[in-house]
Amino acid sequence: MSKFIKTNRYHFAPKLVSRRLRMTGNDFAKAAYMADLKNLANCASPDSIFNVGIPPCDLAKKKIKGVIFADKGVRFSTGDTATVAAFIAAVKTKAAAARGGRVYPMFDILNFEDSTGDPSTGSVGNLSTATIVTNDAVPAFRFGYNGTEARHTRVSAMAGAQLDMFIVDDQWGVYGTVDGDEFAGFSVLQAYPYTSKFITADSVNQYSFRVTLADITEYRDNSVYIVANSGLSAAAGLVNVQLKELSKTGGAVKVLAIADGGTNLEPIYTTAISALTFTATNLETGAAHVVTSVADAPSDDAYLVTLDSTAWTALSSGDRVQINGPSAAALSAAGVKYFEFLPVIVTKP
Amino acid sequence: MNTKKNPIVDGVQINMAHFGAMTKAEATKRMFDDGMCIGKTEKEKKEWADKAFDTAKAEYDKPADEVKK
Repeated sequence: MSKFIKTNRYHFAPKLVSRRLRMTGNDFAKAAYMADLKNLANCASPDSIFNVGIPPCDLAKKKIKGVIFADKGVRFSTGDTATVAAFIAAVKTKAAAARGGRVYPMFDILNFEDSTGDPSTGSVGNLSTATIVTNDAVPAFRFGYNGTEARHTRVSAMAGAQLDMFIVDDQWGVYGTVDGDEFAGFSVLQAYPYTSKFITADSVNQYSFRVTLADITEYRDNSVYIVANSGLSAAAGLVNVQLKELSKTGGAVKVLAIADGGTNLEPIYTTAISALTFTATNLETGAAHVVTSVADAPSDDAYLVTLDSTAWTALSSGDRVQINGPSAAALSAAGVKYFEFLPVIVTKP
Repeated sequence: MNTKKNPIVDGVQINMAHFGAMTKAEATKRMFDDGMCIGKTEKEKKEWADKAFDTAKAEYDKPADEVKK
């Protein structure tokens, strides 16, 4: 460029014109390239979606009502999101699904703090400088919820879980992002449970956790939402039920079903649970160990789970068998809501 | 995969996918050995196994549409 454009262009204008008249073929090629560079309007993406109009049907975020955690990769299909009823039904189903495909609704958020910082800025320029944004802030939130000790112990396991997260506001708007055609939760970079606190005058954060999202693009540029309704509140999180060995005679094992907090489920649900399928696994071989029968044992507030005696007899002393209760989905279908059984391991004497 | 529901006899859910593949004599012996039988004496327990097996098998072998009714 220095060949043609001088600092005092006006003064040298006649010379410039005269040199252009003497340009070679190579010079014309260079001039054409420069013309393309200067044509900045053509550099804008033809796919730009920028516009500033007000959509005829839109909503603004309201106060936070809850969150729906989801196992990493859980998606709501286009069928799930076709109608509000279908979406609510899908949330309910996934709330009792097997791990890996489960969602974890919490609609008792008491406090919400947006911990998203301001974006990082930096000065650019030489003689005159401007301050511009150089890095996006990472969306982060603190949620205080209506916790209790046993519940918070379970919720605290979020620290080791691989999760996505939907956010629900008090108009039952469910906010997430989009993956292809499917409705997805925001990717979670870190879920951190705060330690529980003894109560103070300000108790909204007595039980709380913090969530930092992984990708601002999902949250800002690809945020989508579904406005559900209060029917969504029927989707509830599960309570863990630990199976515990009460006694055993041979491979006939009496087990207690103790929910978090200490509630024994047998006196409440009696035969509704014993009618469901229990399974067992030989932990030494990984093979299934047949459960031949299950019966209610009300005199012990327990369930009698009978393992196949032939296979039991073949075990060596010290061998372990894991007894698994019915699945959360089976329990839910039988009206035993909202629980997930954790297995018990019995050891052959 | 057997998707039939296990019959429940006298409150005992009997795994007929397991016992149904056996002869009655073998199944009732295994039921007794497993410790799942109802009764105070060995005689009562064996009688219960005999009756329970018949009841469970009849229920388990019903056509699916009849079970739904």
